[in-house]
Amino acid sequence: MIKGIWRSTHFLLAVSVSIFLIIASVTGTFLGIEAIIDQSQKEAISDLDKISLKKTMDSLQNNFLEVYEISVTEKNQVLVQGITSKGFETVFVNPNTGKKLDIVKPKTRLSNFMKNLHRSLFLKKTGRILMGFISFLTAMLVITGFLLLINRIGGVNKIFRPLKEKQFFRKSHIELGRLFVIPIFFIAISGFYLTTSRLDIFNSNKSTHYDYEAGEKYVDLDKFYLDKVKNVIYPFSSSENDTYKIQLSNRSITFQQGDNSLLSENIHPTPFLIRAWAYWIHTGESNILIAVLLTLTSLTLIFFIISGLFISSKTSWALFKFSNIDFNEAKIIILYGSETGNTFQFAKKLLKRLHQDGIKATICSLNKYNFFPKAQVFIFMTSTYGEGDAPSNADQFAYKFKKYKQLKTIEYTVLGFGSKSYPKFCSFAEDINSLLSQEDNYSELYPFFKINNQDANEYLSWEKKLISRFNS
Amino acid sequence: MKILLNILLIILFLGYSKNEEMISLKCMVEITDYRGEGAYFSISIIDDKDLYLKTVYVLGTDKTWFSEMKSFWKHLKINDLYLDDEFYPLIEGISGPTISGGETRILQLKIPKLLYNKTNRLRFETAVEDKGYYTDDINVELNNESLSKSYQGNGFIRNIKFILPVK
Repeated sequence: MIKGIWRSTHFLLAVSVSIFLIIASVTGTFLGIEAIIDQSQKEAISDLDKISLKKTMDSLQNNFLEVYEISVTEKNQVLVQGITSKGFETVFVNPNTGKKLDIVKPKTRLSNFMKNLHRSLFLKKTGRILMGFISFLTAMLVITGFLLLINRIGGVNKIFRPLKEKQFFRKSHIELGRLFVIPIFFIAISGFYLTTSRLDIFNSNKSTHYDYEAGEKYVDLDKFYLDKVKNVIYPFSSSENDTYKIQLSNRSITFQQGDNSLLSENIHPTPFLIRAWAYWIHTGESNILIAVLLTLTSLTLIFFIISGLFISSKTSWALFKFSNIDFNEAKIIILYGSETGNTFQFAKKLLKRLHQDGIKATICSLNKYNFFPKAQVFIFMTSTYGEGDAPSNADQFAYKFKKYKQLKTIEYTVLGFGSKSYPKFCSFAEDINSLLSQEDNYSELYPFFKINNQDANEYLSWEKKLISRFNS
Repeated sequence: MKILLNILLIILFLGYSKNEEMISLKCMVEITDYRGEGAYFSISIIDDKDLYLKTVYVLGTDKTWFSEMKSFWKHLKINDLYLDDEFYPLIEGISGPTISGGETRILQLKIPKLLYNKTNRLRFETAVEDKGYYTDDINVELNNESLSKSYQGNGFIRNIKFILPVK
């Protein structure tokens, strides 16, 4: 029962987020590739944690007449605005030598377009809220998907066991699911945080401010490494009132020019730090491995949507729409138990065949088991889930079977579907068969039969023999 | 025909603007301690009738928010300039979110000499996504005397000062 809820929830969530998720993952793929390309360019510097701010500031003195600002971008590039012999320039520099690397290229239109679409669908605040909500739903999707996965595999401890699933989409959905469950979850959560943190929810968290007297404490620029530096604003003029302002990853400080004495310090509040972390994780702009992982995950999400569609076209729609014809009139009732929809397909096939012969038959999931006043024959067709459990539309059968006793004598047969590679091959069908054999008013119409891997030939020969029983 | 004319005009304009003599103003903008999105700025020279003569600086990368700077946007539309790359900011992240208060920017403004020390004014228009818009966050006369003082803004700008001119 619980599993059915997870499955329906997973399916409904997927349907409602799929359009947005497609947009997010296609643009995400683009942005991920862009982040990878950016970081493999020559301006990207990987060892910022070994370069001290002092070294960079000293080296800039030789190359600039005046520096306005140094900033370390999210992509680990060091950007300097200042005056060179050519006038005012904004350039990337090598932080070791202070030499100019390349002139700043504006972001391409395409890139801005993708980023905008990814963040807010061009709908400004509304779009942001929407995308934030989608991120939240995606996180839920991951959780329900994970629960289904565990259920499917038969426990958390078995999560890395090889799969026995044959069908391509189903197999890859599960296979990729267990590989990417963590990255997707983190992307969703960080995306959710990035959007909600923009919405002023965290206003109450003020940073902590300290003031110091000149000469009380001194700033040692040799102790700041560039990986922790966001930007440095140089003093506006040589006037004593103008100070250096440095933004570090966890605080900002100002200090006096000349003797470097610390004047004030602002410690950033926790949400600020979480936001920085979420940005780091969500954009991969400063770590090429994360950028690669993000790109792969985006591609996987696209694939998930496609494979999920294929799976659900077989399973979930059927689970939702199914309610049946006239149970009161039918002579033959096909009772099916199907997790993934395959058995249901066979059951429908049989129903069609019976209708062709003009037999009053109907089809009903095992959980919908009820009084069937005119029933003479029950045909059970069921798969087995995981370690010998009932499929999700059959898990209440045992209870309902006891509750609704049929009045007439019933002839029955049981057909089990499964795979021989599972130790509990068709064991749920076996359970039904033994349950019925203990009942007085049930007699076997045709012996219990098992079908391996949905073998169509095995099924057809079974169907032929069964139908010949009706005609005899 | 119209296209040809446009191209001609652009060539003329480019030629004109290349030869135009510029003066450089160093300018420090200190932003107030608000929280939320980064501020969008446009710095324009306007004449005494409030007409836009030239936009000298734009801060902010996301074009979709330019329209929040309503007066500036109107000017762009009337003059068909809003597709012009010149108005797109040069650097990404120039207006990041100002969570811890009082971010500071130092800018270099290039002002055509012809427009300087006349009756024109320098207007700083600011907007923060849905937090508000100020047509005249700063509006000062564009001449030596006026720019030698520092000013307090009416909106997102706390303080502004200039050094003039840098060569």
